Amino acid sequence: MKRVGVFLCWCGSNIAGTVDVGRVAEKVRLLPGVVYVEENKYTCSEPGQASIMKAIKEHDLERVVVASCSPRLHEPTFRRTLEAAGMNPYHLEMANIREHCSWVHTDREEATAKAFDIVRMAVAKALRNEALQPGRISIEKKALVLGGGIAGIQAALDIADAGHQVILVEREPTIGGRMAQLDKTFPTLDCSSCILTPKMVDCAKHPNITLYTYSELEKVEGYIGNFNVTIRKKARGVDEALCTGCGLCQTKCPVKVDSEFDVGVGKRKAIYTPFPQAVPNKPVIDKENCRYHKTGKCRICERVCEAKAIRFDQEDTIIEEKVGAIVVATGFDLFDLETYGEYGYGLYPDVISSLQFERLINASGPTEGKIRRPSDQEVPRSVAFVLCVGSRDDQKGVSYCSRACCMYSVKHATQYREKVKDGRAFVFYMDIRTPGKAYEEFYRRSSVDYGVEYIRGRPSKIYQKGKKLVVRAEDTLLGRPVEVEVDMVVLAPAMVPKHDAAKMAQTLGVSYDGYGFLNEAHPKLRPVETNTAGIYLAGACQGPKDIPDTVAQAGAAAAKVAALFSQDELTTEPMVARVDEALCSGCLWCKPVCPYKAIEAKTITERVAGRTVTREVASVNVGLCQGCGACTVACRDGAMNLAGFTNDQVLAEVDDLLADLRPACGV
Amino acid sequence: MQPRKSGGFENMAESASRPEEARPAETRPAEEPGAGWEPVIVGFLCNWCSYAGADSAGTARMVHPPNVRVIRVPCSGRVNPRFILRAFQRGADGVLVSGCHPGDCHYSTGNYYARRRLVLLKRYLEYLGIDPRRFRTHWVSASEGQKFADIVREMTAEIKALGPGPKAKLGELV
Amino acid sequence: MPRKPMLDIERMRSAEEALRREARRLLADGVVSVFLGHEEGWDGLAVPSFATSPEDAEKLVWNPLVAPHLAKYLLDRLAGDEKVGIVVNGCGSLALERILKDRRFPRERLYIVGIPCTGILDPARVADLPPERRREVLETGRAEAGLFLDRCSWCDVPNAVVSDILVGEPVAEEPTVHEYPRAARLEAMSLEERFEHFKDLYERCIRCFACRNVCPACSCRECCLDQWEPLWLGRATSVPEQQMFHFIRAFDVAGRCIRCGECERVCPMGLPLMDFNDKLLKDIAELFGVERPHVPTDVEPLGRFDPQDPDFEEGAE
Repeated sequence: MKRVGVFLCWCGSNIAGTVDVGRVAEKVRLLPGVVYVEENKYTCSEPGQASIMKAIKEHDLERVVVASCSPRLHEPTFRRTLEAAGMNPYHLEMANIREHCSWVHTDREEATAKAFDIVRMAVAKALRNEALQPGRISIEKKALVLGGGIAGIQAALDIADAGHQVILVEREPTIGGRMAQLDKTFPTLDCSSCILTPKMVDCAKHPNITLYTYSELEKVEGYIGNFNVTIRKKARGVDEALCTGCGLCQTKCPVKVDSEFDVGVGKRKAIYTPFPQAVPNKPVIDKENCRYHKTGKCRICERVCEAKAIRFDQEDTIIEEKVGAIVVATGFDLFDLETYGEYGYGLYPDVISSLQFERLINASGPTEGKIRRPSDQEVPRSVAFVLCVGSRDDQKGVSYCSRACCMYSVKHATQYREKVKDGRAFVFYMDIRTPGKAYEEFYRRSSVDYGVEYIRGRPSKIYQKGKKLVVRAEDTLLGRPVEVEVDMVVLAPAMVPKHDAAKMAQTLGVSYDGYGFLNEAHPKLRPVETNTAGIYLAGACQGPKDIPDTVAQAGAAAAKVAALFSQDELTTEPMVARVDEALCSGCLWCKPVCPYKAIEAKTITERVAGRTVTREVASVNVGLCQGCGACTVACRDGAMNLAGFTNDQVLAEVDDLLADLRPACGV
Repeated sequence: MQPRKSGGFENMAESASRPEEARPAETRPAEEPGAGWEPVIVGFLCNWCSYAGADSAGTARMVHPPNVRVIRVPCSGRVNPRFILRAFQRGADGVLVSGCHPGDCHYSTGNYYARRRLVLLKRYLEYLGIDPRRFRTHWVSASEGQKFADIVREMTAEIKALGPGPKAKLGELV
Repeated sequence: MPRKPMLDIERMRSAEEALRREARRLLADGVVSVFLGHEEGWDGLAVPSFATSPEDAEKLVWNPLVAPHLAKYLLDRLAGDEKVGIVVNGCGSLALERILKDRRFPRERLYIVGIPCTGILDPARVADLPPERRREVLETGRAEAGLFLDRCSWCDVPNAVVSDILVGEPVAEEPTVHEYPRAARLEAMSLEERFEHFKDLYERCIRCFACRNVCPACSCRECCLDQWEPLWLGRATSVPEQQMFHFIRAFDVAGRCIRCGECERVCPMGLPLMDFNDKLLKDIAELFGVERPHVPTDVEPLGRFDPQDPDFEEGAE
């Protein structure tokens, strides 16, 4: 039996004032395994700890029980004490006789009896404590950033500046994301492209960043520090090394289709770059619309290209990379506005979305910044901005608030009033949410200085009347219905996760909520980590947010990655699950209950009765296991056990506690 | 080897008033129920929420009965139903299992599995003839010290009225 | 409505012929190295048979007494990679699926012959009949419901759920609403009455482990009940230990029990063991919305959860 030393703390009078510590000491002395008992006034103090260290040496102690406050307070402290004395720190058990005893009970007899019970359970557990070593796993100091919007760009730059290699994968032909589609940003109204493009260029030029655009993540295997990722670089149809970005091919291409970047209010060619400041500034051939790919005729771009860079038969390339961390920054889509049939989106050409309005108002957009009605290209003399389309709607939309729409609608209304001096801007709102710095002031200015008219009420119907659109709503502040005739309506759709967010989450092995937003590890304290170690979140893929919050989150994710990469090896939690392979039947019912996907099947070979057999057993990745123990309960024959809280230990605590109980009926 | 006491507190008033005669080795509840008999309740508390909740009851000095003996587990998902029956089998008069509120599990899903098992177990133990009031399951968060204290108070009173646990009717273990 | 079990002796006889043919072929062609089936044992019982040659295959039977499940014998054949043939009816295929879903035997090594079934008799009940009555039942197939295995009264798997070849015409499946009268009967009693009922059971149990040994859901390499460290279960057959034994047995298979009732059928002391399992099946069906809790699936009910699961605290979902 292991030699246990028990150190009872008075904690001044916090414990000793209620618990008869000496009495407890007397009884503890009689417990099996206990070879040394000591009382201290303040065990956590320097002299107290020194006393423990001295006793360990002088009495050859193999296990230590400290009966004092909650282990949640001082377990790390006393573990360090044991380590300093040359003992494995996991040979410590604590008995909580303060928070759970002396502080909450008043009867001295009862408190003393309970304190003894608590200590005896700790002794029973300590006798079965094993020496635990933290695991170590290697770390590949290269990060993968998924998504080249402002979140991905910022995260990539921060990680690269910290001295680590970054691979930035973007599905579109260019990085820039949503911010590249915007005209001006609230509340300062600075030009979005002007602040974004320098960062885009930095990304392209940074020696530590490798850019894969027009590329998608296909597969992720492995775990923190050791991810194996497979990236599909789609065929652009253009040799990037030769292309000079002159743009002649785009000018000459005879095919015009709706531009995705312009959200349908502008056109592009079949060979195109989404916008002039694209990074990389190399075009892409849209195979579905390219005349040559469809009919075998044309090839004008090939003829005019002086660099001879056109490659119609280019194939996708598969790239395999090993990375240590992944930052997910895949952004958002907008709520499908056709759900609100009563608003006429898709039916009336002058009912547009806020993103389409951004493209109209953008100086480098399809109308060169002039606000024009899609139907007749006239300047609208009145515009209605409708908020919360899709958001805050339990019936037809999503329940949450989309966070950024109030501000950008205020911005749109302000910009409209700037450009069309005699125009009227109406904002139909439920609430105006302006939580950020200078946001409220911006909103005030829109009303006071720019004369934007705010109507508190959710429109019930929008319909065409001649050349006008009628917005019918209730003005809830006045308490009466209103009908407003306008030339154009701009709807603010809820920000929703990307259409394939769930599939991406499954590829990565991260969890997502009912809406499809990726789950952070803890809603308050761990906003950029996920429950999958080594995978971090930044930006709107985690939840709707504006640019300042996105950039902050991207920096936070980068800091987490930098912290991870600051070590050569990752020390992992020692109180992890482990498999007794001799017992394990390979049923793998443990696997589905693990929140961290830390359990896999493993094939082992054994010699049994003169022959070699192979069979499958469960295997725990100690780098991923966080020690919850759910697998140990799924395991029926106890092959799976949890270090620090083994089946043996818990049963010993129960058995020892109740050992002296006489059945009350006197049998 | 004689265990030693560190010095420095012999002058405390308590040590002077310690009675000299040895008390019996076990300070267990009296053998006959009713003669000041106190139930013993085994509590499995998850480290991150419920154990911390019990701690916060302590920090706030919320007085409650001393009948619960806490066994710390990392997660309510670690609580094997066998532990619960073992406690009853060995003589516990009541068993309490408490974890984080669903959705708040430190390990994200442990308490969801615990919930399924515990809901099934509650019905099953009652089916086996164990009074359901003896087995209580709760969600107590780290800040719910009051809730913990209330649970202990209620449970102790209820089980005290019920009398000794199922072991009394089953006979000796060996 | 629970289906009414019945015997079609003609159909069984032709199934038997086809089974022997198939087993002969498999063994002769070397497709399988052993075929698991039944043969006639003493006193007319159908006992497990392990045919290793075409001649052995002649002994295989398919008759109203083929009650024992064969799936667990696969655990004796884990070594090596020769293929094993096995014959199953509906409930036998559930037992086989249980072994397969528990990953205890590789599907690739199996050649499964499925035989549709409308009912099998309980051999013990048949053995209790006077000889002329017994002969009449076995030859004509005219048997009252009470002679059948308990599981036939609720069976909703007349056709094997997994097979490589089917012998005989499939039986029409009837949708069944599953009820658990054994559990309901006990639920209607008072707490004390139930306690006494089970205490009586514990006292009569001799811890022979026949129930565990026959159970297809109990297939661990080393059973926790046989372990010493930790000592989950003391060896003494005292009432508290027996309570623990039956608790661990029932709760370990909870969610995986196929409701075959073999545990009860093989118990030498006639203990009503399905009182335990039926209750868990009933509650799992009710609580977690599992319509057919006795059918093995890829993730069993206690290995998954729903955020909207029933809770024991108000408003906790």
